[in-house]
Amino acid sequence: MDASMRAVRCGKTLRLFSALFSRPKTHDIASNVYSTSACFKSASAKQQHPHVQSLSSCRQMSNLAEQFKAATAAKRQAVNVQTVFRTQEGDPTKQSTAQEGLFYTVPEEDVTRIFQKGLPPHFTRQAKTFAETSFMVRKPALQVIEYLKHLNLDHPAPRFVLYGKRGSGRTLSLAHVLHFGLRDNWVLLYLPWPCDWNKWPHEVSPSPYKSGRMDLPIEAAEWLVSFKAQNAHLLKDIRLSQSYVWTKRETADEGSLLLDVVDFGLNRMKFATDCVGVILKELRKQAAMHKIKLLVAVDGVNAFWNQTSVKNLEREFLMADQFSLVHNFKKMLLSNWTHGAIVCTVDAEANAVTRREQTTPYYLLGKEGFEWLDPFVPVHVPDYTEKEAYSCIEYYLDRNWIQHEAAQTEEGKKELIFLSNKNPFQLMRVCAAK
Amino acid sequence: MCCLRRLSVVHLRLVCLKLDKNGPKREYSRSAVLCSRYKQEKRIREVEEEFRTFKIPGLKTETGVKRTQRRKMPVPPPRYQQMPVDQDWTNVWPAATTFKWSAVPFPVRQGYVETVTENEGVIPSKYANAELMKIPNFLHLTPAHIKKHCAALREFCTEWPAGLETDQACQKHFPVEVETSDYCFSGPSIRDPRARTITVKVKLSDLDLDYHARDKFVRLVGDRFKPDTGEVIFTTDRCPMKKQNYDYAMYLLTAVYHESWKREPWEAEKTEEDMEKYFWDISKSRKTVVALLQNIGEIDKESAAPEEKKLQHLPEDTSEEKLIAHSEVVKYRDAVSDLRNGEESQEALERYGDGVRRLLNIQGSLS
Repeated sequence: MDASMRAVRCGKTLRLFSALFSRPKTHDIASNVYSTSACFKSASAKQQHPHVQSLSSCRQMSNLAEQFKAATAAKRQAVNVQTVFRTQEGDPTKQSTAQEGLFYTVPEEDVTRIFQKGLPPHFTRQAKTFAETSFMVRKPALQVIEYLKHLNLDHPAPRFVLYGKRGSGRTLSLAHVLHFGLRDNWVLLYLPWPCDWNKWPHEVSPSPYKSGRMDLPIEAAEWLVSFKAQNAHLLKDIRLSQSYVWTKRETADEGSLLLDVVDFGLNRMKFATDCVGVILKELRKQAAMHKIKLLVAVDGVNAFWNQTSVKNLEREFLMADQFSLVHNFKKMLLSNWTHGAIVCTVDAEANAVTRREQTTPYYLLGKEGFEWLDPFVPVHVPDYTEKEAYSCIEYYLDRNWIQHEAAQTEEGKKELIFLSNKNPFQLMRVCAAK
Repeated sequence: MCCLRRLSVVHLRLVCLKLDKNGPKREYSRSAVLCSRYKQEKRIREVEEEFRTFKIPGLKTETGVKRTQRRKMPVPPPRYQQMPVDQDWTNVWPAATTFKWSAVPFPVRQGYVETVTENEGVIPSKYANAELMKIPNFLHLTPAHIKKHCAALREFCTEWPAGLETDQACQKHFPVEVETSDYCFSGPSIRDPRARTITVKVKLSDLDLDYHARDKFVRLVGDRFKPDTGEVIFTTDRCPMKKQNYDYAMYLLTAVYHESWKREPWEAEKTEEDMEKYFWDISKSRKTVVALLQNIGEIDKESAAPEEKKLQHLPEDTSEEKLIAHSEVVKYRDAVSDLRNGEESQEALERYGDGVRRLLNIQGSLS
């Protein structure tokens, strides 16, 4: 059942909450990130916390510092032994099911390297507030990582499709896999949200390479920037296997560096899209020679088989694969090259509004998309388990995201879990200010 | 004084009338003179007299005037209060009729109360309840009524044929169900145009059809086939008579049956899009998987990877025929077909995933 549905069902409880809603005035610190107070008024009214009594006794102390110290100690006493919600194992290559449900912090340098773009906006904002980017080690990502670890790279690239309800953490599971890829020296080919190309392309120009196709120079350049940031350290020695002629005067000779093609694409935006195609082709060749291993990751891959908002001269809407970028990346999704793996997510949001009823791969991909990816391994991303939900609340408490003291009680946590129905996104929303 | 004057006027008029007989013209003028004089006198009198009192009608109750009152008949208590507990209900409510609160011996409420202020928040009871009168009731169709009906009809019934005790037996021996309707009413004509309609129901499973014929039959009859019950329903009303429509329905059934067994030459041109369901053998999936496995087979021959990482289940001969009959491929085929033909459930997807993992030897399951 959807969490919002449940929330509606327990309307009585919600009404009670809203009636009791008031901002906590006593400990109004600069951040405005709590407000679960609304949910916990009732709980706190019933339960007299032990530290409230000790607070009254310590008021008699003359020294303000002493008072503060005592109050802090009392508060700490009130909070029971904190459960474990964090793991120090920050390297995804070493994580296992032992760390399942625990948060690990992604080093800042890795975040800037992989996730300049590509994390969900809500999560990015939260990470900024928390002053750290932490992923929860969850089973779907662990599963995919385990598959990748045991892969026979000589075989054609296998395909994994993450699917699940909205807000269940598909994108973050993909991000976790990408972090693994970075640490395990995979070349990352990451498309954060190609649906944006369909909906709001910045600039559309006819392809100089192939008539009938459309180029997205700005999007291609953006991707080149992120590609360079992600993989420059692995591609220093990669050279082109053939020469490419851009114009009469501009060519990429055989044996020149692949990173030069990236720079050329960034300098000559007109050829940025073709540069992407060349890079993908060259990387496939290099992978076949076992020089590198490729990890293709696409978030919302079903956007590749959808209609775009761009019209051609006949005023017909273009299909996504008429974009050169999509055309090139669709080739990467075929299992006809070796030494790599393909991890995708399917997302109802990437489809047209008329095709968002289910969250399963075949429905979202459609016949054509399913046949393109078939045979693939579907990986279900479920909602939080009990343990994960508690762990998440503990993490929010640790980050002072939830400041109401009732959230530290068992009852309060249960209320939060009930209201969110263990859906990660809903839990985040329930715990957030608005 | 007033009375006297009035009398005198009457008298004068009488005189006038008497005089009329003698000479009308002269006497008319005389009466006119008399009238004008009387009016003049009246005006003078009004000026001289006191103010008249203005009577406001209805201000004072007029005493002495009595309205004749109808004698009130005593209202008898509602009938249900006198009903014995073991009465025969069919006598109380013999036929379909509007709800009558006084004859219904049980409490019943019906209606809508908008606020607590309206009727003190209580749904109206049966007394004078128009809502209960609006809705149809079945107080004339209680088990006791039905028993009486059956008893009355029994003498017109014949023996139930032997061998048709169960519904399954009836379905087996009489697979074709024909529904007709007769309408009787009083009128100058006993014909009713609605009586011509015929409905013929046949279960598709009762017809002798193979896969192709069944598929064609379903396509031919269109929405006359109900997939949830497996029935085909022909409703015919195009002819004026019942018999004609029945013949036409039977003709339709026969024609569709024989037509569905025919194989037209253009049926061979059926493509994947025209298929009624997913067939793996003509799908793109088969081509992809065969090509993929052949590719993997070639790679594995040259590869230096450890044996357990290779596709060990792959047969030596990777020709298409061998591959299709291969057990892992068959499992995968079934999983894909289930996924495409049935509901895309979590279980179907898991089965598909397992099939793919075994097919491609993707190792590393967590649990």
